[in-house]
Formats: sequence, C-alpha cells, structure tokens
Amino acid sequence: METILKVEHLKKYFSVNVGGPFARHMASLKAVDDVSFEVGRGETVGLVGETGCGKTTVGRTIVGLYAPTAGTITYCDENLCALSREAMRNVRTKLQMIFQDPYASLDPRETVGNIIEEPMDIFSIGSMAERRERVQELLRIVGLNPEHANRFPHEFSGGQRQRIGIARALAMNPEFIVADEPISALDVSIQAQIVNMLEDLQQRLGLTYLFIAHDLAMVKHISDRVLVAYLGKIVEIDESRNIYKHPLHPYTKALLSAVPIPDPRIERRRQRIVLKGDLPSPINPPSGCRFRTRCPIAQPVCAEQEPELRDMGSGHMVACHFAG
Amino acid sequence: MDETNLLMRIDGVTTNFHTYAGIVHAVDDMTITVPKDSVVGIVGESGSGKSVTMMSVMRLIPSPPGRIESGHVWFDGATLNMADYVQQEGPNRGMVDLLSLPPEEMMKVRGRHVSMIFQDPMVSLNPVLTIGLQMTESMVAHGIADNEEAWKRAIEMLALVSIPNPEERMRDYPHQYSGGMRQRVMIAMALSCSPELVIADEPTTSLDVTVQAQILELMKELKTKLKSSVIIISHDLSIVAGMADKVVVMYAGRVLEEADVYDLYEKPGHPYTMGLMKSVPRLDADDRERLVPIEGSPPDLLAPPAGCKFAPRCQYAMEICCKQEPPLITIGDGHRARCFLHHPAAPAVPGFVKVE
Repeated sequence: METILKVEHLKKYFSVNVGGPFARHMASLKAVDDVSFEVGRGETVGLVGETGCGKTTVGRTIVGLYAPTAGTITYCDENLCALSREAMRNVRTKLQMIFQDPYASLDPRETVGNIIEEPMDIFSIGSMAERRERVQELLRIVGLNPEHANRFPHEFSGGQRQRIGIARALAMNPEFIVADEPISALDVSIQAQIVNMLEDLQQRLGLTYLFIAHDLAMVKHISDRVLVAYLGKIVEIDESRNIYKHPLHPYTKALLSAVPIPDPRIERRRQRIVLKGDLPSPINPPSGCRFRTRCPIAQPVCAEQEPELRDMGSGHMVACHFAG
Repeated sequence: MDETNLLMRIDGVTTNFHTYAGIVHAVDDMTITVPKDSVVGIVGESGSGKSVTMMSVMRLIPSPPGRIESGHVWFDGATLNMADYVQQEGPNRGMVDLLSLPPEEMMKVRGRHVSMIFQDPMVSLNPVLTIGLQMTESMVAHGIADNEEAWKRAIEMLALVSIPNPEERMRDYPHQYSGGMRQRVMIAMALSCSPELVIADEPTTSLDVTVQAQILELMKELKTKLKSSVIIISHDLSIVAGMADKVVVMYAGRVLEEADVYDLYEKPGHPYTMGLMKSVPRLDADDRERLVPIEGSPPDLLAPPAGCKFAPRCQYAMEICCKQEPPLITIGDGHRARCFLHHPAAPAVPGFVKVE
C-alpha cells in the first residue's frame, strides 16, 4: 500500500500559565510528545484514547491548524512543516477535517449553501453557477435535500448538521480527511447513519480517513488499523481485527475491558480491569513509562526507562517493557 | 419479578411544556413500576422524555413553562413517615402520592428518601462552596445529624467512594477535583441520607470509558451495600445491560417496551428496541458487518405524528400504525410492548417474537 501520510517524531507543546491568576509562571503542556505513524492510501486509521491523550491535537496539527513544536508531517512526499504559506494553502485543499460538535462548527448566520460553497469561493473554483451546482451535488451526496441550501443551520437536527459538515469537508475533493469524533455528539440511532455514510463515501471517492474517537467499539468497526494513545504518546498500533483479540499493552487491555457490551449475559460474566485513579497531568508527566502510575503490572524499571515502540511482528507495535 | 413488593409506581404521568411555539408533549401517560431493592434502567435518545419523567417524580420541573398535567407517583408509605397522606384503601393502599404532597412535605422527601445523581458533575456542584459543606448540607437539613456528626459521616462517605485523603479533601472546592472524582462526590452526596431510591440521570455520559467503568463498578458495589433501589437513565443500551434488572425503553415521551433485562436483549418486542441493538457496533463482533441504522430522526414533540410515534421510522409500519396509537400490551411475564405487530392479524417479521 502506498503511504499517503507519514508522521515522524511529532511534538506539540502548549505554553500554559501554572502560576495562578496573579502570578506568571509558564510551563509547557506536552499534548503530543514524540508520535510517529503512517497512513496508507485508502486506509482508515483509528486513533483512540481518553480525554487529554492528545488525539485531537494530532489531528489538528496534521491539517495545519496547529504548528508542530518539533517533528515532521510528510504528505505525499511533501514535508508540510517546511512548506511556504502559499504552498501549504494549496496542499490543504487535499486535507480536510470533520469537526466534533455539529452545533459549534457551522456559522449560524450563513446559509447552508454558503457554508458549503465557501472553500470553493476562497480558491476561486468555477463560476458562481458551477459552484451552486456543486453545492447541490454535495448535498445530494450526503443525503440531504438540495433545496435546503437556502436554509440556516439551526433549522437542522444534529445528524443533519453533521452531514452539512461532511459536505463542506468534501467540497474541495480532498484525499485525506481527519474525522475528529464525528459521531460522539449524536444520538445512538443517528450514529450508524453517519458511519455508514462515511464508509460509502470512502468507497466512492477513494478517501483516506484518520478517525479520532473514544468509542472503541465504533473505532474497531470503522478502522483497518488502530492507534492507542495515552498522555501524548502512542502505546500500541495494530490491525483492528487483531487488537481486540490480542491486546498487548496493559492500557489497551484496560481500555477494552472498560467498554460495556450490550448483552446482559456476557456483561455480567466479564471480569473488568478497573484502572485506579485519573490521568496524570500532561504538564508534569510521570518519568519513564507514562502509564506506570495506573498500570497493574508496573515494575521499578518502568519509572527509570521509557519503553520504545517495538515491532512484535506483522506491524503490531507496542510500547511496554513487559509486552509479549 | 415481584410486582407486589413495590417501592414506587409512576402512574399515568403526563408532563407538558407550554412554550410560545405551542405545547411540547414531553412525557405522555407514563407508567413505570419500581420494585424494592432493584435496578431499573430507562433507555432512550435525547428528547425521549426520560429525564423529564424523573424530574416530574422529584417535582423539579421548572414551572412555567413545564406543567405536570396528570398522573400520580405512588411511593411506599411505610418508609415515608407521613401518616396523613397515606392512602387507606383502594389499589394503592399504604402508598403516598408524591405529586399531591404539599411543597414543604415534598422537601422532606427529596434527598432523604429519593435522591438524584445528575448528569454533569462539572455543573451540578456549587463552585463557591467546599465539598464538605455541600456533603453535609442535606444531612443537616433533614435533621438526621448535627454539624459535627454530619462532617464525620461525610468523611466516611467520601472514603466509601474511594476518594483519597477524605479528611483533607473535605475542605477543597469542586474545581480541585477531577471529573471522575466529582461524580464520586455526587454519588456520595446522593447516598449520604441512605435514601430508598436513587435516580442516576446519565451518571457516566460526560466521563471517559475507563472512568465510566470505575463509576459503574462503584455503583454496583454500593447498591448491594446500602440496599437502595436505583433508577439508571442512559442512552446506552450496553451500560444498562450490565446493571439493570428491568429495562424500560422510551421514545417520544412514551414507553415503547418494558421487560426483564434478559428478555429485552434476547427477545425484543418492539422494532425500535431491535433497531437500537442493530445500530451499535459490538466490540466482541468477529467481522466488520455493516451497521443497520434507524433511518430518519426522532419526531418533533410540538407536533407528534398521529398513531404510533415510531411509525415514520419503522420499516415494518403498517397502515394502522399511522392512524392509531398502539396500546401497551402484555406480551410475557413482566414484558410489555407498544406495537401492533403483536396483533394476531399482523404479518410475521424476522427476529421478532410475537406474543401467542
């Protein structure tokens, strides 16, 4: 498979004030700390983890909404971090994003038609009539009535708004889409509609997805491969089929066992690995392995040495001293 | 299921919101029974009326615009200690109607006999009061402990929900707690007066999966320890599967199905329940099967459809479904469903167990 996106040693630190409201003392919040992975063309890669693991920051850095602190992002043999503003502007048409909250990501004062047309406007594509034509076509693609182009976002339900967000992302014929929790704000019965549509669009338009979510069952369903992130690091990478059956990292195991299964007989028999405590602060992460403070099998070596991502065969990577 | 040993019976409660746009029929003729020492799960999407039902029970509906139009909430009188209001005869003998209690009597019920765990621990704690003050407030208000004793009990409760260093954390403010810890405080607070019934309104929705697992395990553990009944409201069928004894499925302000948890998952008696189960991917599925979504979206409660509220989205809808609302009929032991497909003249549907 041809590699479309390559992320190498990506770091993104945010500067935050930890001195309180009246004192200024800056520290760096390590949202993403040395993350590397590849995405093949036409593939769906899932990125999972808890709140604060840096999954959204990875997505936003890839589409250029954040400038990385260090590391490189290579898209189709071009290093995005070294491009000029003008060159980046053109590449960005190929990289699009679907946002999490369909209530906050659409301008309430613009009609749906204008929202979807705006990217084409910015890049002066086609005549006005052609753009209008394209808006109608996009609305049809995402399963909305083309006549609704003159309506405003508040006239639509959450699921329909997410379809509008997807139509906007598709306007420039992108190759790569970062979907940042595209379904977590939607009702259960609507989630399946959107996921099925994303799968159909991928087939039809040959899209590549980076699917960011915290719902492991949904990620397993939609992805070919899964990346598991914890506190700014990737701890495990594997094919989604395999990762449920043979997780190697203790965090992945705990994460999988925490997901409830909609079957009372199975659910009541299951033994849960319940993690103690909360996520440590990314401003001052634990030394060595970042998971060691909550890890059920942590040893003294975990505090001293940081485990590297190692290949356990056929692309199954894991960052743990005791895996395998 | 023992239907005679009842703690609470919600009987025909109808709650409407009178807005400028018209009347929103949020909950319509709601009937649910809660047996003693049980966990009842209420499942539904947003706008299905599950929270409004529970707010009606607690009489916390903002009025105006909300109004509880009719119905009763019968609560076991033996525990309430309100001799004047206990029904002396009839089918509800020994029960007290919470909806007809005077406001000052209702205040004695809230927090003491029925308490609530709210959805969002970030907004349901008061940011300018210490955790200790908020924990002791209900115990002191209900007169079950003086300040000093309540403080001690609050520390015990915090230890029970595994907050480290409870003595010191009592003096902290909510912003010094993480989301999971705040939800633990909410649970400790709800249980502090040992109520007979705890209503948990989406207790884990704003939490991460690993924290969700912690909270659910904690609730299960405390349930057996403190012998309270629990009503757990959720939009997630899988959370209810692990906890509830009995499940109620709500849609557009109505009960569509009510059953023992095993019956509901093994032989669902309503197309909506079947649809919900098929539309979520399962972590233990072997292959990538395509999801089967429920097409369309929930109805507008300002102008709900005539007939069955689910008919516009139902793939098995018949002519009668759009004209007449099906009644909630008994299709098995403690199993009720609101669907015409159970009628002898209705066509057979694959995967659907019809009542004999």
